[in-house]
Order: sequence, then structure tokens, then C-alpha cells
Amino acid sequence: MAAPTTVAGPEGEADRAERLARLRARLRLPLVAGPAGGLVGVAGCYLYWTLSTVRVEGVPLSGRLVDFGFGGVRLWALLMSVAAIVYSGLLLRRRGSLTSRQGQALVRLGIGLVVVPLLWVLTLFTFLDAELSRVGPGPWVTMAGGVLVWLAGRGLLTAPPAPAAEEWPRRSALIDLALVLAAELVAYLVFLTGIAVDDPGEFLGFFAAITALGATLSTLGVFKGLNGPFSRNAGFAIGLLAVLLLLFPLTQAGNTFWIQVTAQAGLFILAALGLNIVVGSAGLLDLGYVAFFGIGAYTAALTGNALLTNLNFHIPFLVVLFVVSPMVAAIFGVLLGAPTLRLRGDYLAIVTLGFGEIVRITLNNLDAVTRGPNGISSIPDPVISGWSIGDGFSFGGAEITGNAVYLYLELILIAFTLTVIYRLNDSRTGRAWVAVREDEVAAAAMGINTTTVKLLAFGAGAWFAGMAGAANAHLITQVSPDSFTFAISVLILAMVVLGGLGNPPGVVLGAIILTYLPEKLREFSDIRFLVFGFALVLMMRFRPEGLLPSARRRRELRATGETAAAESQQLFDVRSGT
Amino acid sequence: MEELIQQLANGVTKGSYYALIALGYTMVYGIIQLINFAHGEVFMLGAFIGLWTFNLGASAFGWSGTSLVALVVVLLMATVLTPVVGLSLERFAYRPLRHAPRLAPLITALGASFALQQIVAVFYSRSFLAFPDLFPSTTFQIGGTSIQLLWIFMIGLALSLTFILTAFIRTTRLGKAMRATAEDADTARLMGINVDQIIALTFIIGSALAGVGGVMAGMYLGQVNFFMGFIAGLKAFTAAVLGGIGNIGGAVLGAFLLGILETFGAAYLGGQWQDVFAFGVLILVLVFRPTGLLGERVSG
Repeated sequence: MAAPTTVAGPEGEADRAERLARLRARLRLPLVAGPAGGLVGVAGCYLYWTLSTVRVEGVPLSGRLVDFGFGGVRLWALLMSVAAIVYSGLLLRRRGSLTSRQGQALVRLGIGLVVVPLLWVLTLFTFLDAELSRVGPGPWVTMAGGVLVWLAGRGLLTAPPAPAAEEWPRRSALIDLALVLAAELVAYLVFLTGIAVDDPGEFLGFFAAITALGATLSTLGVFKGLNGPFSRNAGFAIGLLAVLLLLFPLTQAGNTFWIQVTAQAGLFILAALGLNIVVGSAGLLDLGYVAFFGIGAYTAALTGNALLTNLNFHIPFLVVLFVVSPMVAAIFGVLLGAPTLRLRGDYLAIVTLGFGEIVRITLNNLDAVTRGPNGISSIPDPVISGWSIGDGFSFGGAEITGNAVYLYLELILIAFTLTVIYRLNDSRTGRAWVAVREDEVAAAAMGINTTTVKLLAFGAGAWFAGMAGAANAHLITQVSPDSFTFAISVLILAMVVLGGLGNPPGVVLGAIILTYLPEKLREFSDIRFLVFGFALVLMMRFRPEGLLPSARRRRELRATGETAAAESQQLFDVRSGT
Repeated sequence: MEELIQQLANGVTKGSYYALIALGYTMVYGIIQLINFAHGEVFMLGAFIGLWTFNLGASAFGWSGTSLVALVVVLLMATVLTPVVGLSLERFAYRPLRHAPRLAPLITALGASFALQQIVAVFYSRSFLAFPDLFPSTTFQIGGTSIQLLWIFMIGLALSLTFILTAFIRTTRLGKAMRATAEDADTARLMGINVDQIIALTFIIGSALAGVGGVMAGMYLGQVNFFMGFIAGLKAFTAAVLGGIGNIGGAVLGAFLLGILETFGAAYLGGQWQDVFAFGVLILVLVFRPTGLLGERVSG
């Protein structure tokens, strides 16, 4: 039974005052725990983290790990501790008007402060085979500080809820621009720092810290607020982002490795955006998506002057990239989709899975065309009107390498894809996709030809996969059936799910995280797919809308559960009433 | 002609372990309309549990090769331990999502399948491991066809388990509750049936059957690896669809048919096309007769 919410009269008034007083009393302890936890955290950062005798292959680690390196674990822990002190200090001053959201923010900060040192210790312990006794008191003290901060946040959760976050209103044009500039620069710096941090333990700490800080900011409504300035200055935001990305190769000081990885990330972004049309927008689970990627790649390989191939006819690269490869992939998509799309959603998943395997096995067996398991190799860099893009170019004294040119090419492709996707989503077709996804029967009743609409989604998804595949063939200079396994389909699906089904910026983020993370954590490459599997399960269980959800999708994925809960609540009330 | 009969025997044997996996698929689908992608992995775990048990026995009691005791213990262990996996899948991965949009449990199932595969790959072994010959390797010659005693055992075991399962569903109270839940879970709940328990029971039975299937496949193929559940699971699902999903007799019929079709396909088109053949059958069936040969049915 629900308690009566408002009672008139002096008695009600007194009751309310008493309850407020009780609430205050309950809040006081947590509010002290916050700054105290932060202080403990700071103290932990200044204690020893490793005793000096940890050695890996005879080299003492202490020098590297005990220092506050740039982007190092202790620096991040220190930053978070200070943030906890400052933030809970602010809350102490405003203790009269606290909300549960502020508690939630502290909870996330506290969890971060526990996880960051914990991951570092685990890495040291497992991967570097250091003995646990060699770990100094520092990380444990910091973790204790994190627990205090967490408790402080927990205590605040009883406070009344805050109103939903809103976009920040326009104060002045200058402030808007400054906010956009600051947000993009911070994001860029975080990205560059992430690339610069080499040690796996340090990187995990960095990653956890960024995630925790991001979650905290997100709780406080900062990202939602930033939507305001960004949507008012879309042109400036996109232009600035483009400039920052174009400058990226110059920040790498001649080292091409991360440029290459970024180029790979770009291709996965393309593929994931394509899959997002199928899974995110239209709600069709395609488990053989990699087949279209593979078809695009083989098409490019066969038409790209490869040295080691059985069949070769040359078609200019740009034609292949924008027309031939995507078209061939889309044709296969339509051929597969036409008979199968009228099937139930879960049957479709299994049919596409089967199709993916058929394509892979066929590529493996058609020796005459595809050279079987060897694949087609030595695919040269594409030549655009006499200039081989692998040669790179120099611009204002700066040498741009071939890898960077690939990256630029992909940026153009991604910009093109995003434009198409956003235009599509706002179009009649895009709305039809959403309608089919949310309720196929209702959509059909509204006069939508569901099969055609689904076929369009399937074809569009395959189209972008074909394009990504074509670029991939040239980037890695070879294609073989091994690169197009079911695992890659799952990887791309994981990118879409992790980032946020149906939300292109989320998908881009998901693709970036899942391309960089394995490169950063090569030492853990054994358990990579294990982590992917668990990540999929946990995401669906705890955050089905992904890291960056689209507003509509979030409501949809959360709604059913809430309605069910509301229904069972009703049932319960009826029972207890009788 | 002899060649033909030989292939037929091979195919039916193969079908016998497909059938045991297909039963789990079809029962789960019949009751909660979920393609349990991780079911193939339960089958794989059955094989690995069998291998692990044998290795334990080998070091503790000196089991080596053919031994009836070892066979029984291995089969029992697989039957007892695989339901734990199935049950935890249901409890921790699927049950929380029962009211979520359909995409969510499908993705979860996929993730769980991947995770289970990788658990074996990371913590046990990534390579092909030899599976012991638990069964006497006696071979009969009937006409020009050579038939192993193991094959007869496998077919017999699969058929008798199916028979027991059918009897269980048709005659016992729990079986009746299962049928009721499959038909209409909400009404079943109103009739006082504990639907959660019945769903858990379905997972237990399905996993146990897949566990037995895993041991059989291990003995038949002579080797196991962490990847074996993926393709086998896909084929078993094909079999279930071929027979008509939710239909127990159909799953078994579909499995034997698929086994035969596949062996013939491999024999006449070349072994490397074997899997293409199976998936081609799946796509054709789904396109032309999505209700399967015997029609969809809710358990029974």
C-alpha cells in the first residue's frame, strides 16, 4: 500500500519537519565520508605502490610504476580523489537541497576509485607475474578511500530525485563556442593520451578512470547539457573535429603503428554503422554481416591489380570503392534477404548466420577464383589518376604517409556514410524502419510494405559493409577467408551493442573502443573473445541501450521491463488489498 | 548400392547425436520461443566434461581405453554436470530478459555462446584433443557394409532417450505442466503451475540430453575441440527446424534426415562442401516450409 503523500494540517506539518530532520541526520555522516574518502585516496596515491624489487625479465619495474607518469595510474587516482574531495565539499555546503543524482555521481566516482587501482594490481599480479606481497600499501589505501566515497554516495541515494537533465540554454555565442571547443579538445587530448599510454596496467587504469569520470559527468547531466551548444553550433563542431582528425597523423611523430590502427578503426566504424542500420534501425538481427564485408573485400581484390590472384580485371579504385564493391555486396544482401526477410526475427538471425558460413566456406573452396585458403595477396595501393595513395604526399613541409592518406580517405567515407544515415533516418524509409522495429503488425496496418522496408535496410547495411570491405582489402593488402569468420560478425555486433543500438555516435564510440582496446591489451589477446562474450551478456542485462543510447531506443528497451514491473505491482496491490 | 548403404549408416549415426542436441533446441524454443544459441556450447561442454572425467578416472583408477565402468561414469557425469550450465544460463542470462524485446535475449544467447566457447579455449585447451575409445571397437560386416557396434549403441541410446522423453511429457504431471506452459504460459500460471520451475526443468532436460550427445560425438569423432559446438549446434537447430520446431518427433526425424543428407552431400559433392550443404538445407526449409516437415507444435 502506498503511504499517503500529503496530509494537510499542523500534524502533517510537524510530521514532515520531523522526517526532514531525520533525513538530514542520515545525510550528515555520508557527507563527511565523501571528503574523508577523497583524502584517504590522495594519501594512497602518495604511498608506495610497488616495492622496488618487482622485476620483469630482470628489469626493475619500480622506476616506471612508482613515478607519476603522464596519464599514469596514480595520476588518475589522484585526480579522481581530488575530484571526490572538491565535489563532496561542494555538496556539504549545499546540504539543504541535495538530490539522489548527486549521490549517484559520487557512487560512480567511488567505484572508479576502487576499480582503477584494482585493475592495476590485477595486471601486475596476473600478467607480470609479480607476487602480491610486492604491491605496496598505496593501491589498497586508495581503494579504501574509494569505498568511503562510494558509501557517501550510497547514503545520498535516499535524497529526493532530481529533475531530468536538460540541454544548457544559450547564454552567449562566445560561451557556446568556448564550450564546444573545450569539449572537443578535452576529448581529443583523452584520445591522444590513451594512445600514448603503453603499459597495459597503466592503460587499464587510464581506461577505467576515463570511464568512471565519464559516467560521473553523464550522471550530472553534463553531456546532455553539452547537446545544447553542440546543436546550436553544429557546423563549427564538425569543422573543428575534422581539423583535429586531419592533424592526428602529425601528432604521431613518424610512428605509423597507431595511424594504421586508427585506419582499421575507421573501417570498423563504417561496417558497424552499416550493421546499425540493420540491427539498430530496423531491428533485424544479422549474424552473417561479415559475409558482405568479405564480398566487398574480394570484389576489390579481384579488380585491384593484385599480384597473387587467379582472376584479374582492373577497374579504377574509386569506381570499385563507391560503386562496384558496395553494389555487389548489396545484391547479395537483397538475394539473401528477399526470400528470408518474411521470416520471424529469430529465424532470420540463424539464416544469416548460415549464410555467413556459406560465404566463408565458398571463398575457401572456390580455388579457381579465390585461391582458396591462401586468399588473394599483394594487393597494391590504389592509384587515383596516376598518384598511388600509398606514396603519401607532403603538405606545407609536413610529410603525410600512405597510412594517413588511407585514414583521410576513410574520414571522407565516414562523413559520407553518416550524412546518408542521418538523412535516411529522417526520411520516410527511416521512420518506416523504426515502425517495423517497434511493431511489425502495426506498421503493416499503417500501410508500410514491411518486406520492402526490411529489404531496403538489409541492402543498405550490405552496401556500407561492401564499401568498408573494399577499403579494407587495399589497406591490409590481402584478403583470405580467415578474416571473415563468425567471430568478426560478433565483433561488429558487439561494437553496435556496446555503443548504443540505433545511435550513430554511439556506434562510432563502440567501434573505436573495441578496435583500440585489443591493440592496447595485446598481452591479454588470449581472453579477448571471452571478454566480448561476457560483455554482450552483461550489456544486455544491465545497460541494453549501450554507452551512448539514442533517446528513443533507451525508452523502448527499458519500457517493457518497467511496464511489466508496473503490472506485477498492480497485481500485488490487488492481492494485499483482499 | 553397398556404398549407398554405408553412407546411410554413417548418416544415421551422425543424426543420432544431432538429434540429442536438437531436442534441447526444440523444447526450449517450444516453451519460451528463444533460440538458445548457447545450446551447442552445452553439447561441447558435455564432450569436455566427459574427457575431463575420463582423465580423472585414468589417473585415479587407471582407466585406459575401453571400459564399461568408465563409459557409464563418463555419461553420468556429463548428464549431471551439463544441466548446471544450462540452468545457470537460464537463471542468469535469459530469465532477467524474459520480458525484454526479442533482440535482447538473442544477443545475450549469442554472447553466452561465445563466452562458454572461450572459457574452454582459455582455461582448458585450444587444440584438438583425442577422445578415448570408451566403447569396444567391434565392427560387423553386413553384406559389404561395415557397421561399428558403437554406431548401433549411439542410435539405440538416442532413440531410447527420445522415447523416455516423449513418455515423460505425455504421461507425467510435470510433462503435462510443460505442455501447458508451452501452450500458454500466463494461463498455466493461473492454473497454479510454477512456470519458472517448468522453464528451468526444460533447460535441465535439454542440457542433459546435449551432454549425452557431446560424449557420443566425442566417441564417434574421436576428438573434441572448443569450437565443435558451434557448427553442431547450428546443424541441430537446422534439424529442429526441418522437423518442425517445438515438435519432439520432428526434431529427431529432422536430425536423422539431416545426418543422411549431409553424408550423401559430402560423399558426392566433396567433403569440403558438407557444411554448405547443411546450411543450404536450413535456408531452403525456412524459405519454402518454415513450419517444417511435421509442422510446428508446442511440446509433445
